[in-house]
Amino acid sequence: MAVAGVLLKRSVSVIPVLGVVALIAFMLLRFASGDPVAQLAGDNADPAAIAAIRARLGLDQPLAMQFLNWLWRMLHGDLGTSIVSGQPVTALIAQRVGPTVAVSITTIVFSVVVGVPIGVLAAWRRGGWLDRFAMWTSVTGFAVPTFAIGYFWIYLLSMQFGLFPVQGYVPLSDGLGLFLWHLTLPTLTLSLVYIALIARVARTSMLEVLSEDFVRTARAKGLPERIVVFKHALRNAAVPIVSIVGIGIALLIGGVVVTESVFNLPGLGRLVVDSVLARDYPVIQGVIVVFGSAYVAINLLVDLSYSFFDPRISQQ
Amino acid sequence: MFNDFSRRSLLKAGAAGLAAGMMPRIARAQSGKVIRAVMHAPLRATDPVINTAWTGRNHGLNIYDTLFSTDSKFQIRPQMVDTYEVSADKLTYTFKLRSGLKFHDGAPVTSADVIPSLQRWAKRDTMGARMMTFVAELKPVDERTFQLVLKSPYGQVLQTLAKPSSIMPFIMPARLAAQPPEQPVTEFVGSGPFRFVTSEFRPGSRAVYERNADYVSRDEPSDGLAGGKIVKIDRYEWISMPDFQTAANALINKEIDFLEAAPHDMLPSLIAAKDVTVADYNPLGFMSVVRMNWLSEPFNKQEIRQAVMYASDQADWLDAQVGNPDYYQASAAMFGVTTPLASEVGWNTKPDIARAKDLLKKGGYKGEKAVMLQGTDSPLLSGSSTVTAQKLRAIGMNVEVQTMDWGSLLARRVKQDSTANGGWSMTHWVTTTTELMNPLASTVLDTRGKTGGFFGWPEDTEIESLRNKFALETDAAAQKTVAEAIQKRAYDVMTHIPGGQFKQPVSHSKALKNIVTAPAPLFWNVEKTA
Amino acid sequence: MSAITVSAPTSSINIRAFAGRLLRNRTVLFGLCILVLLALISIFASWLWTVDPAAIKPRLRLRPPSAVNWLGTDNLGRDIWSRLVYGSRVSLVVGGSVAFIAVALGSLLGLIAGMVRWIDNVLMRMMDGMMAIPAILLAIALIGGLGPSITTICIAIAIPEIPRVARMVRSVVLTVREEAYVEAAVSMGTRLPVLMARHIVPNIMAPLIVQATYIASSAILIEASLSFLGIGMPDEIPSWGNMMSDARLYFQVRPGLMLFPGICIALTVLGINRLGDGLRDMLDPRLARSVGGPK
Repeated sequence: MAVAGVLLKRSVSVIPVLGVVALIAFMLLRFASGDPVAQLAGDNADPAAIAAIRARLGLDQPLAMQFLNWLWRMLHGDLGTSIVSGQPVTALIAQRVGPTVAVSITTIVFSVVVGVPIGVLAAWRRGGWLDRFAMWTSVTGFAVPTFAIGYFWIYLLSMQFGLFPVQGYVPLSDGLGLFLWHLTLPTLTLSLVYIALIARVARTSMLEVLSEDFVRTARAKGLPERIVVFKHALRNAAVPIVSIVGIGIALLIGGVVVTESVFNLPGLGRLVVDSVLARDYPVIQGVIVVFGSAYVAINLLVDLSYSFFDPRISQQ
Repeated sequence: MFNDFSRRSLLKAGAAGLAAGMMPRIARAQSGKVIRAVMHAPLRATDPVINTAWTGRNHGLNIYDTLFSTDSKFQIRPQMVDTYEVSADKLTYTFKLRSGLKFHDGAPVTSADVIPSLQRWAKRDTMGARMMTFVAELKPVDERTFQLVLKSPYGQVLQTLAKPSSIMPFIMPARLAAQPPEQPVTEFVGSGPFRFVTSEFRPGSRAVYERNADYVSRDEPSDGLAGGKIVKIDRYEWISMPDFQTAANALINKEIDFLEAAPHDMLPSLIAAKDVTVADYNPLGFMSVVRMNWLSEPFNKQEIRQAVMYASDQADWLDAQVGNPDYYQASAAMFGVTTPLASEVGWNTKPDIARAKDLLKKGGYKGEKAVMLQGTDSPLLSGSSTVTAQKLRAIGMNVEVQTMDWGSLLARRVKQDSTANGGWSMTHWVTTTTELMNPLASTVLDTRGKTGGFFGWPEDTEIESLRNKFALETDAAAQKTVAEAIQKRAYDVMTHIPGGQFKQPVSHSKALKNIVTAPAPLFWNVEKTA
Repeated sequence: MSAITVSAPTSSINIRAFAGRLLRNRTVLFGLCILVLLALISIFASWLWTVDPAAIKPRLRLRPPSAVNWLGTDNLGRDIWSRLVYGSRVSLVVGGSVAFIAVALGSLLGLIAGMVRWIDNVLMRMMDGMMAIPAILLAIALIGGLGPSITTICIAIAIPEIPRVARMVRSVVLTVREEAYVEAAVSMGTRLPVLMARHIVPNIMAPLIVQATYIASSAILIEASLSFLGIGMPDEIPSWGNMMSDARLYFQVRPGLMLFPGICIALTVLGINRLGDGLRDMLDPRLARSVGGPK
């Protein structure tokens, strides 16, 4: 099948998934015990005022109507208006998307740059000190709550050594140095689990590839070990590594929510936690849809990238 | 863990080299003087007339102005008003605005703005609504003069216009004041000393104010919420930080200048920090309150409500909330310990378990479940709830603690249903003493019951008639006597249980000078050196 | 890419030999030791705590370790040692019940999807949609709606795990169905329950057990994160997660308040993960490939 055909087919298959995401996002808080309207109306509001607000927000309509209305407007790029702050949800998301994307990208890049070589080297010298060290680091990385890791870095690198700011986000437009300087600790915090994951996957898939015939052939031909390992073997081990990057996005976003709180990054994770606490339905729905779509899109890209790393897959 | 100094300094040197490459300078180049402040909560809802949260009021104090203000000695002083006179029959108040007052959009402040602002506000505020029941007419006389005409004399007109607690009578332009009071204003135009920078507002994360160069200040020095409001900085950024530890570290690291409410257990490390001052600018402090729901079992019975009080020990609550006795004081005073109406009548703040058990029996308690709503956001809310739950179990009550974040709690406590249908029985609440110091403004003493009252919905005609008496009384000594009677009655019927008073010192950078002592964090008059 | 092998149809597990292999595997042994210790602690908790873990003495708050309070007291004067001991129960309950709910419901959905073609499509699209929403966001929103209690927290953590289990079970069922011996059995008229009992269940058990250990350990961590975000276990139920989260304010005064429960969480998660890794390698070496969960 042609590449364009694959692209089209995969893209179309994503639509029902997005529909389900929207439905879940919409239904999630409809069974909630707290009433956002009562909260919004304040302590002294009378029932008439509450009813007026309910009508203004369209919350008095049947659920199905509310859902269809919301879906229809969403298709036109309108995610509704925040109940609490009165601002458009798209604007709120646009304000908050920067820090989340920034810390996600730095984490992925950093984790791949660190995790893949660790995994490869661990596989290459299987059972050696690096292998064992990597194994135990990854096992520990999985076992400590993210916020505790964050506190550790703050305590060590900010409060003791004074190297990095303890909190805050500076947009890239204020300068690359400042931007990265503020993102260092969040990235270190988030990437520990991710490095562990990538290193483990890289190690196992490398182990498998290293025992295959073509690697033996390459070695037999007298190619330098460096080239055997990093060029021949790694390329063939890349598919599971790339796929774990895709799967890991969900894990990453989970970590981002906590990390944003520890380092006070005004991102989407914090927005969604705050909105849940304030029962701000439109914002929660909007952010969940955005996260869901991002996840779907990234996995689509990962799927498509397989054909780059492994031509056999695209011929299926 | 990190005591290996030689290795540590080695590491430090290495890492410093690494970080230096990407670190331009610690201090960010900023034009002008900026104060970065972390408040007890972020600004989300912005209409100070709709939202009872202090955040709404504090936001309002920056960008709006009021006709009158309360100074640090509880005296009422004109603010936007230049001169005023009261007719001999005490029925007509004539106010004249100061000249040169301008809204942020450049329009002058006129009587036509003031009147709709007051009307909109009075629909939401209990003290305002009460005053309006006495008001026959609010009418403009000329551009800067207007009259408030009463049907019968009312002693609290100026107190109401100067009320320092939540839902203050802020003056907005007529076009914004024309909005129905259920609908929040979305344009932030006032005549206050700061302008709101709408383009930089990130609800829940950051609100930015800049100096209003056109503000015409009074000549008197700042005094409480009253007096001159001269802004000596260029910008003030209200930043949210969900984590207290992060905020305290940020202050020590000089990333922020002001931290409104560091938990008391963190104060020692902040006091020890080199460039941080820990000081109290709100001498009235805060009070905690236990509120029970009069509408549902078991607290629909007076004896059972009283049993809760006699099972309680204020010192235990305060230890759980604050911990350090330097910052708290047990007291029965419902109107604040140091306020003009302070009185210790009604309770000795100590437990009397035998009496509690006896009252429980008298009230015919049969094990009905009491649902306690526990807010988890702050140690001020969560600790004392756990204490109460245990004390009540100890006297044989059936208590179910339901933990939730503050937002959920707010949504939950307005429910009047029975506990079986999602209602509630009791909850702890913390508020500023300012909110409680006046029996008319104090929402916990609103005893109009289910229809107009505050959550908990106590109903008592005697307290209501005493409050009316207080409202009409003009003599301070007589007012105090009435207030004492209200307190005594409130303890009898148990509108609420006062949980004691505590101070919440502010932590700020040593570079900040001349912070105003007032029941709200204020950023006029403050200077930032270096 | 199917990472799941199908063992021979006649494989009958020799329990004694298997147990012997288990105990010779150092990874499994390490994990098992920790878990058994934890289970013993939580079973005999009432003999191990010195003080009632719920007893509040605000006047004795934040005390250093003493003869009465072996590890000191927390901000309400509660005994930390007793709370840690009691917290082991909570962690085991959270880990265990989340794994159970997720595995039980996930297998059921996976079996249905694998067996009934027309449901398969709908169900799998639902599962894809759920998987697209980050687990912690789904849990936060669910708890925001249901209110935090030990039951709702377990359910909220379990629900996002269901799709992963369902997908895995479905893929095993689909693979098994295509095996020649199963097709033969179907054509000979073997009934569905028999088919399942004889061919499908034995093939699913290994990956399911491994999956369950990962779910259990991540549940314990997610519970801690939820406490940190302010929507975790009620204060009255001492969980290591909410102990750690509460301790943030007192970190400077009593670092132990955060350290002790932190160590407990790390050790427990470590133990469960090692057990899972070891079992995975033993039960099905080829499974090792799909370490991050089935793709």
